[in-house]
Parts: sequence; structure tokens; C-alpha cells
Amino acid sequence: MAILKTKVIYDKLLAKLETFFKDLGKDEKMLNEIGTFSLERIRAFVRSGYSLDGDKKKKLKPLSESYKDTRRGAVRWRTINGKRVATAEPDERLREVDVRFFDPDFSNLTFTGQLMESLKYLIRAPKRQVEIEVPDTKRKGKYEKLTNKQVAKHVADNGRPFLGLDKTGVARVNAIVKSFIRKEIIKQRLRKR
Amino acid sequence: MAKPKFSEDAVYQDIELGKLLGFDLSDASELKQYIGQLIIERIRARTQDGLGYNGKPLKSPYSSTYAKSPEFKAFGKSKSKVNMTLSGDMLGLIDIIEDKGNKIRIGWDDSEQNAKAFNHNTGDTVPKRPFFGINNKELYEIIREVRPEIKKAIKIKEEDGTSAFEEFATGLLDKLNGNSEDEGYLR
Repeated sequence: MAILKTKVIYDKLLAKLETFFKDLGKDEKMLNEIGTFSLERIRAFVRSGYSLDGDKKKKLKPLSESYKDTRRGAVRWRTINGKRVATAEPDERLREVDVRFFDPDFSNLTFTGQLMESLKYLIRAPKRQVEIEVPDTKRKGKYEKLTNKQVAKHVADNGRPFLGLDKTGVARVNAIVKSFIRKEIIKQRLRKR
Repeated sequence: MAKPKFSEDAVYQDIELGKLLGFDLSDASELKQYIGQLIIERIRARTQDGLGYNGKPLKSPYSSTYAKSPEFKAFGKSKSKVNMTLSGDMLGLIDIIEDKGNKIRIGWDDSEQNAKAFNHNTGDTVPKRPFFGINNKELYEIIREVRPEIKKAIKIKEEDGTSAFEEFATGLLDKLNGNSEDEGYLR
């Protein structure tokens, strides 16, 4: 079963923080920083060909030669509504390629770019969780039948799970929390006068 | 002030906060942690502005080979903007690795990031781009700015003692710094 959500859970820590931080806005600020960081990390590493599913980043499973041929052969440059775009038409389906990161021979879960763009984070405020997930949203394109969540499940089921936070990523989140606490201790003390 | 030290095993800088501020901070870890955090953020911000330890621009541009890598594109980098930031891990993991007496030590508690920092600062196998460390000018600016706050914070602690919140938060920091025997609570 593909892992479609990654929970960056700080239950014990953040439940205690909530007890002490009277201004909930500050707590939200830190959680938003954690969410944004985690999301951007996953996106950038996947686009550069890595999965963060596991303790260390690892290269995504390579593309098959036949699929590379499909991707290679199908890309055409054309002008649509005055904009120069690359499109791929495997099986006669017209799809706009994400020209920033698409490479026909490179395994980085990027064709139209919609999967990576769809990623989002949610703050489950009462539970003090930051969740990164692939939403069950429709994809653009006349012949797109799957949702982003279904595409994510498909790639994960076929050997390319990608959602996660490696050990270094966890250390980075740790650093965000530390910076927050280090400043907050002094701010709280100075507020007494 | 001590300059940064560079070896393959350890890249770090010792900062004598007590001397600089003129206060005894040996019993005020929370104040050292606070100032240390400001120092770390200054190093990070200055480096990400493209400036090195000496305040001068870091060697530019990045090599063409590096600029063509998938990582370079995926992390949205620019060839001419040299700021020692790809994933952000190296700068993001600079930390206070020691806090003893009136002194703190800034560096990396991660051998991989330490190795990267050594390489970049000394030019071992990549172009030399010395970024690590807080220079005198930067440090004195920070000290000048925080001295009134620190003086006030010390006075409040002397008069009121340590609050429950502070004890709790300091305990949390100890856990995050790996100084506690409690189980990890992250993942």
C-alpha cells in the first residue's frame, strides 16, 4: 500500500508548547515554517530525481527504455495562445510538459508537473501535526482520468514512493523548533517588565 | 575573538560571550543559546546574500557543470548568485555545539555537513569560498544590540527566579540538543 501522507508529528513537544505559549499565532507561525520547509524539500528533491521515503534520500527508480522512448519521441514544441510550449502526445493525448524539470530520460516523477505542484501541507491545529499530502484533485488535460492522489498511489505502487522526510530533513525541522524556543524564552522573560 | 577553525573532523568557532558582554553567563544557558541563535542567523543571512566571512563577495559564478545538474535546476538556483545554498542543509544545520562556562561553540553536529563546510571554506576539492564564522564587526553589532536586553533579562532572573515556562523550555532545548536521556519524540 503506497504511503500517501507523511506526518511530521510533534505531538508530545507541541502539546506542551501550546500549554505555555499563550499567543497561538506564534505556534502557528512555527508550524507553517515547518510545513513550508517540508513541502519545498520534497518537491525539490523529487524534481532532482530523489525520493525522501526513508532515512536517507535515494535515487528514484530509473525509467524503462520503452517509456523513455515514449517520452522522447512524443515531445513537440509548438506555440499555443502565443506561448511557446512543449507538448507530449503519447497515445495521441495532448499534454503540456513542465519544461522547467522535464527530461525524457530522467526519472523525477515529472511530466506535466501537476503531481509536484499539487502537494500541500496541512496544520492539524488541535493535534499539533503538520501533514504533507497529495490531494485527491482533478488534473488538467482533456484525457487526464486520474486524480493527483491516484497518480501518486500509482507511482508509489510501481516502485517510486516519494513522500517522506529524511534524517537530515528531520534535523532541519529540529533546528527550526530550536530557533523558535531560543528566542521565545527571552521574549517571555522580557515581557514581565 | 577566536577565528573559525577548520579541520576535516571539525569546523567551528568559539565565542567568549561573557567577556564580550561584560556579564557572567555561566549560569545563564538560555541567554547564551539566544545570542548563539542570533549569531547563527547572521552568518546564514550574510552568506545567503553572497558574502563571505570577510564581508567580500563569494567567488562567482558557479561552474557550468554544476549549473547544469538537475539539483541546481530543481532548487531554483542561479549561476551568478553564489550563496552556498542548494538544499539549505549546510547553512540550515549550523548550530551551537557546545555551551560551557561563558563560552559557546558554533559549528556542525553532523559529519556530512561538517565535511561540506570544510571543503568549501578551505577549497579542498571545490573552489574556495570561506563563509563560515562570525567576524568581529558582525559580532560587535549583535552584542551592541542585545546588551540592553541581556542586562534586563539577567536582572529579571535575579529578582524573580526562573519561571516554570523557562524551566520547561530549557528542558526542551536540552532534548533537542541531544543532552537529555529521554526518548526522541520526532518521528
